[in-house]
Amino acid sequence: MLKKAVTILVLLSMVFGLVACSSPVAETPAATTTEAAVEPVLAAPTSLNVFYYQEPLQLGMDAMAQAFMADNPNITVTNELVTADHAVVLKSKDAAGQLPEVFVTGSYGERQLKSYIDAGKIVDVSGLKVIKSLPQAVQDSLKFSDGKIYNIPFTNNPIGVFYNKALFAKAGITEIPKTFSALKDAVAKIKAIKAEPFVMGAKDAWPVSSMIYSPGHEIFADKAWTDSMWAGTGSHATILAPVFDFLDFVKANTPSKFMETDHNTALAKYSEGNVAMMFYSTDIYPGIAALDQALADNTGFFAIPFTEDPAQSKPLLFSGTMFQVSSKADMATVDKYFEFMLMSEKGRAIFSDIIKTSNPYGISFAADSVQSDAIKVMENGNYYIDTQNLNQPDGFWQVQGTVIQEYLAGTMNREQAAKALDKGWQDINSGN
Amino acid sequence: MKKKLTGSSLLEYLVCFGPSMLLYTTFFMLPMLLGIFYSLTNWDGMGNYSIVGASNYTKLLLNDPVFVQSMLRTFWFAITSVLFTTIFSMLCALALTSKFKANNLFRTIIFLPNLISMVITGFIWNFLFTKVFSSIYTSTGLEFFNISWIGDAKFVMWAVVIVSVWQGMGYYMTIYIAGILGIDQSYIEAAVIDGATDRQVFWKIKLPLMLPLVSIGAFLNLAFCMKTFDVVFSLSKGGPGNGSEVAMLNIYREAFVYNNFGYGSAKAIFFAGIIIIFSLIQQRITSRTEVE
Amino acid sequence: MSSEQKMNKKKFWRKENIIGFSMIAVAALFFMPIYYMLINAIKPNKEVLLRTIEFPKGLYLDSFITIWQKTSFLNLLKNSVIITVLSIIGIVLFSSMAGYMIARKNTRFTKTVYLYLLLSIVIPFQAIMIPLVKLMAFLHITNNIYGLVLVYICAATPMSVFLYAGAVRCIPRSIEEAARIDGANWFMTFWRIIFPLLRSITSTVVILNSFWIWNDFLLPLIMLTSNENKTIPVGLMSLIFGQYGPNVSVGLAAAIFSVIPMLIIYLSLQKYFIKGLIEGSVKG
Repeated sequence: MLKKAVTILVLLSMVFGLVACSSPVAETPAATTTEAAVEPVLAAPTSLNVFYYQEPLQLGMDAMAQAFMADNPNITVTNELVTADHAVVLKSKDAAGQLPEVFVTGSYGERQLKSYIDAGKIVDVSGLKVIKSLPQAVQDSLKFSDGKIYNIPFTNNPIGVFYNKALFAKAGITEIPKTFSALKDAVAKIKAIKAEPFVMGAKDAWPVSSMIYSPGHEIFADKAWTDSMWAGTGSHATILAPVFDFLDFVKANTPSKFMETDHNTALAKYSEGNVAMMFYSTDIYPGIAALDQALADNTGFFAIPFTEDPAQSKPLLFSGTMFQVSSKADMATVDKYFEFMLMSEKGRAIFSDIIKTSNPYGISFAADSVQSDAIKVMENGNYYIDTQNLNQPDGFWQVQGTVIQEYLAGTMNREQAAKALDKGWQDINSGN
Repeated sequence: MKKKLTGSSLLEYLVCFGPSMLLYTTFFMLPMLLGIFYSLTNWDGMGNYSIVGASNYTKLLLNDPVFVQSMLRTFWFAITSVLFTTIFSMLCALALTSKFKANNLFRTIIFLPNLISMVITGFIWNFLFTKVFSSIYTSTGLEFFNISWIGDAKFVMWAVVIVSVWQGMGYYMTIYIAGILGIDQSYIEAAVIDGATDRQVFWKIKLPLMLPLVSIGAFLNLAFCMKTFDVVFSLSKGGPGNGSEVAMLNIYREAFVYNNFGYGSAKAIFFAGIIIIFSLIQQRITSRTEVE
Repeated sequence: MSSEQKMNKKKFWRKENIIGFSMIAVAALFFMPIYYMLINAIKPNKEVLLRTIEFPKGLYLDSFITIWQKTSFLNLLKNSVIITVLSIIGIVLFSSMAGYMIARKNTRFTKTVYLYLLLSIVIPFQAIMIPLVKLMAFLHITNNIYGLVLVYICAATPMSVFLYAGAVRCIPRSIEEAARIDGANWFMTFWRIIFPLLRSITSTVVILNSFWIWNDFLLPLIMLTSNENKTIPVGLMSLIFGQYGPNVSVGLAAAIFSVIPMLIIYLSLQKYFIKGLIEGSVKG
């Protein structure tokens, strides 16, 4: 019997081995490792590994790599997209001494990148042509306290509310709410036509924490407060009341079971057409379009009206993707690749045709209904730049999301939640 | 029977144990010793570190209620899950060793979940609890299906128990079926001739003879449940809040989300110690009942 | 007498029925998740999300096609098969010998070895994960499927030795003593005489280990970092768990893809599996 089993296994492996060997294993959009053509070239062949987790960028990144390699046959660009457990994979790669040349850690702040900087794993990128092409104000905002720049910005995603225009019209809401009380009025009108005001995916920590980034932005970003937190003297208790008020309001007007709803389920709920609003960034459009094209085209975007001052109603420009560069990378190659992607005609064409996301490089693109609303809202610099995320300890979003979940689920009151947030902050900090 | 340790028997030891011991020591013991070393440092998993002695250990005991809670939650889960798995798999094993048709079909169906990886199991059940259950509730109105299984901290660990029993039962059932089939039929025949009822045969013969097996099964199951990670990770991500954060998830987050690898290692080593103690206690209890 | 027999028979049948019905109920409960997985894998995503429990109106295979197109499935399959087969061969070779030795020589040394091996059953993987990666980098075997095979052999050793030791104890010593008198050395004796007798436990070891090695996620995720080395669970998982959470219809199709090879192995070895467990654990 054993013989039979082993024979079966060996045969199977041989068959698959043969199949796999005889068929060209090429079409791997997730992993475009196209060997550069072996032909006499002047420069020595170099390779560039790019590691990221932003799924929506996949097609665009692969097109970039292909186009770049066509022009530069001596450079091999390999994209690697890891969506599940990307932070752990990156750390394992580092432990194995195989840190990619260019990667997205997912944390962009000075405090968060501290371990990378202290260990000499990432380098100053301020000399790159793409960075120099940015407006001086943007360059300054990227600088860390040592005067260096470690992040190459790539895309921006404003966070706000997206809404069903048809339901708003049906409810008789003629003007986009710009204050908290206007939002309350709008919600009352939506309830009057028996529609659901909000849907929320609070099952995972990240949608919750990214949701409170925006309303809590002005509060969390306050430099004096963050400094006091780092000094161990500050507390969330002093500042969180407005955030909790807002969360309570959203919770009270979300009829579906949000604690077991993840982001995709919430999206499916929205696409049924009876939910007026959901919180997310502008890259939501393809997700709705996959479920209901007409609804996606009838979806708009506005800033979260969090205060009573209409001038404060600005979306948060969340740094969607920023690349870091390994200290082992060949800077000339990195420079060349980013220059190609963001400054050359070909690269910018790919960006505007495939990636289609707002960016700090002035690359225009055919905006979908959500994005074009966002662009209108953000005209004349009417937005916040994500700085509060930059000043938190690494991984604090996890604590934030978890604690807010507890608060939403009713297992913690405001006081306990504030204490838990304080403790989470100090614990992560003191572990280092 | 006694043998001298001659050159040839040394060679025997070397050939038999050599390869497995070499691999085991290299890929398990060495990393573990390194892990113990890191647990005494403040390493962030990346750069330099300094030795901080036992302070990681005192911290996890005295100043980390979330970790302590996650351990308690894990104990509760492991005990509950092992209890249900053992009882149900024993009942099914008894039923499926009695003479009725389609035994094999049922065994296969109950074993089927074992073929599916834990991560995918979590994913499928996430889908069941959220989508299928709510659809069933809409069409039947049964309250059981209206519970927010993974959205409510009161129920989420029960949801994990359900999934873990579903996943693990087939395996332990198969072990117990093997145990029942392995019982010498002459004992049972003798008892039946003496007029024993089915119930008596079970309590007086089958169960005592199977206890060593149950002890092994429960030991493996307990060690496994204590280390539960994948299924929680893909079922509920530890939520809502910390409602289903088991010890392994807490350790994982400490080391890889909060980048405190030294502290995370200390938690892992401490927890391993606890599992060893638990296993010893469990072995003691089952071996005592075996003697009786 | 005959009426009593009839009575007994009646009773007998009634009990059987109860067992039968309850087993049908249990099997139905166990099968329910798999049923919903199957019917939803052949629906478009929108129907999965909006009409979950309804039976599909037609056969929709786009999710399967997506998987086929988005991953180089044959390459994933090849890696998974190579890793699983080589690991299993190594496990069977090494653990059978070690198990034999432990069962046959009851010395302090073998007892210590036994306890030493048991340690790994209780140590959580997270505790050794990063040091393991560092060690493998030191040995230059990261991102190498053969390096991963070594780790799997190591990880499976304790359980397999445990099972083999139990099975060897069931084989009377007289068999090998006879062979030794004939002049065969112990090595030949083991492979020619004992090992063939262990075929049931070997199929059990093969089944149990191929399941978890095939399905393992975390190890290949962190060990095999380049795309051409990825295994099925890792390759498919990136489709199931996107950046924003699970993609349901593709995920269900991926689950089916990954289960089928294991189902074939299980069904073909099932008969020997239980027999092997009887030998391995009952008297072990």
